[in-house]
Amino acid sequence: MNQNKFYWLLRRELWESRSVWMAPAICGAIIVLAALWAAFGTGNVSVEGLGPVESAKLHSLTPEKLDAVASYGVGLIAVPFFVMVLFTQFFYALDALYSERRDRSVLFWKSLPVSDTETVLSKLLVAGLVMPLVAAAATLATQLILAVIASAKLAGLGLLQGHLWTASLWGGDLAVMAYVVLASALWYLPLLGWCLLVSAWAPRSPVMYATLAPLALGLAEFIAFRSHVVLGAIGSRVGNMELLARSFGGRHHGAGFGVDIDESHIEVPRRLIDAIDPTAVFTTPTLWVGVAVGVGLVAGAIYMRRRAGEVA
Amino acid sequence: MASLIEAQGLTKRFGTHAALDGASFKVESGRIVGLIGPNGAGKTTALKAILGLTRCEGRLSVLGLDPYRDRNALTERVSFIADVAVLPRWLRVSQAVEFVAGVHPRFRADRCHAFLERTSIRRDSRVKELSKGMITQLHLALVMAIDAQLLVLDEPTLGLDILSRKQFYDSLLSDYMDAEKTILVTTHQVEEIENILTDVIFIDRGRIALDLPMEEIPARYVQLLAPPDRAEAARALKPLSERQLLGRHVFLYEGADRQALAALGELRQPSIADLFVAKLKGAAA
Repeated sequence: MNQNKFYWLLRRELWESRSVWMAPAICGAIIVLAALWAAFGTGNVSVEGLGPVESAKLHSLTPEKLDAVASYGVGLIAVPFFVMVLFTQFFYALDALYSERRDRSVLFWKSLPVSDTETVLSKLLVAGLVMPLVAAAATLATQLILAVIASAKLAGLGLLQGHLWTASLWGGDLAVMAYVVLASALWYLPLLGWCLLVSAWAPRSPVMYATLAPLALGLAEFIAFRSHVVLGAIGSRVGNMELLARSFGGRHHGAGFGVDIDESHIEVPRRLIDAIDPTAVFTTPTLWVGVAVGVGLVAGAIYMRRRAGEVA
Repeated sequence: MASLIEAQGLTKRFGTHAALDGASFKVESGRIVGLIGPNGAGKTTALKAILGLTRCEGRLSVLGLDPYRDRNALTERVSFIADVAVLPRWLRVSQAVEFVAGVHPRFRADRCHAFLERTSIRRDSRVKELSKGMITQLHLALVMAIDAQLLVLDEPTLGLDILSRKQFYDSLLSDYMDAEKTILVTTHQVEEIENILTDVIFIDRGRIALDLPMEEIPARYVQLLAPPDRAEAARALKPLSERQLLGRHVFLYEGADRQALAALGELRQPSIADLFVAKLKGAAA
C-alpha cells in the first residue's frame, strides 16, 4: 500500500473529524483547570493542615510505597481520557462511512484512485490507534502539568520529592499507556469492526442499528433459550471486564490504589507498571477470537463500501 | 486499436425492473459523447457500470479492463463528476487540492491552481461556503487538472444557472479536451451541449435507441416543415414523427428522398432534441 497515500488519508480524517484532537484537548483542559482550582483557587485543598498523626504516617511510608503512590496518582489521570476516547472512537466509527453516503461525497472519494480497502483501513486506523494515541499524548501532557502543580503545592512538605520526577515513574507511565493502547486496540477491534460495518450499511441512524441489532439478538436468545450468552459476551467486551481482570492477573481485586497507609506490614505495593500482566492478556483466547471476528467485520465493511456506489 | 469503451448486451436488473436491458455501444478515443435519455432510462446505471461502481451482466470493457473487477486499476485513468453536490461540505478548497495531489499520480496541482486563479474561489473557504456554481467550478478545476483518458460527467451542471452552465462547457472544451481524451456526458439540457458533442447515444428503457456520430445526422435525418394541405402527402413518405407548430406540420424522416420532400415544404436539419423526441416516440408506439 502506498504510504504517501495513507498519510493523506489520515490527514483527511483529521480535517473532517476535529473530535480526534478536540475531545482529548478539552478533557485535559478541564482536568488542569480543576487541579489549578483545587490547588490554588477557592477550592484550595490544604496539605499544610494535616494533623501530626497523618503527617507522621505519610512520612513513615517506605520509598517503594511513595513510588507506588506517585505512579498510581499519575496513572489515575489517564482514566478519564481513555473512557472518553471509547465514546469518541465509537461515534467516529459509526459516522465514518455513513456521513459520506448521506452527503453523497462518497462518489467524489470514489472518483479518486483510493480503493475501498484503503479507505476503510484508514478509518479503522484512526478509530483504533490514532484516537487512543492522541488521547495518550493529551494524557501525558496533562500528567506533566499536574505533576508540576503537585510539585509546587507539595514543595514545602518535601513529601514526594525524589518520587515524582523519576525516569522509572514516567517510563513506566509511558509503558502502561502503550500497553493500554495496544491491548484495547485488539480488544475493541470487533466492536470497531461492527461499527464500521453498520456505518457502511445502515440506511439511516447507524447508532440505532448498531445498538438495536445486538439487543434484538440478545432478546431473541433470551426468549428462545432463556440464556444470555450474546448479551453477556457483548457486555463483557464493552465493559472491558475480562481485559481488566486479565491485566491485573486477577490478583489485585479491590486493591484500589494498591496502597494502604495503615497496613505498613502488607507486601510492598507495586507500581502500576508492575501490577499489569500483559502476557495474561495477549495469551487469552477471548482476545484473539475477538480479533478474528473483528477482521471479518472490517472485511464486511470494505465489501459494503464497495457497493456504496450502487446505493447512492 | 480497440474502442475505449465496449459494451455488449449490458444488463442490470433491480428485482423485475431492468435498468439496462441488453445495451450495446462503443465509444472511441478522442470523442465527446452525449448519453441522452429520459429519466429512468438507464443513463446513470450505464455510467455507474462504466465507472465500476455497479456490476452488470453482459460484456463491458473500459480501457481494455473490466471496470468492476479492475476498478482500482481504472480509477487513475478515469475521472468523473457525479453531481454538483458531491464535494464534502466540510472540505476546504486548499485541502481538496492538497488531498487530490496527494493521492492522484496524474494530478497537476499547478494546473488546478491556474484554473482556480480565474475564479473568485478563495482557497481557505469551505465547500459549504461556496455557491453552487463555485462548487462546480472547483470540482471542474480538480478534474481538469487530472490527466485522465476518460472523463465521465453525470448531469454535471444540474441546478446551475445558464451562465455557469455555459462557462462549464466552455472551459471543458478550451482547457481540457484534446485528442488523447474522451468525455462521456449525460444531461437533460441537450440543446446546450449539442454543438460540442461528436457522438450521440440515445438510451431508452435500458436499450440503445440510437448511436451515431454527429456528422452523420444531417445525412440520415431531415425535418420537413409542411403546410397543412401537404400533410397527407408528407405522411405517405413514412415520417418517424409528426407534430404541429404554428400552423405547420413538422415531420422527421430517416433516410428519406430529399428531392421528394423538398417539393412538400421547407427542409431543416433536426436538432438532437427533435431527433430524441421522434426516436423515443417511435419506440413507444
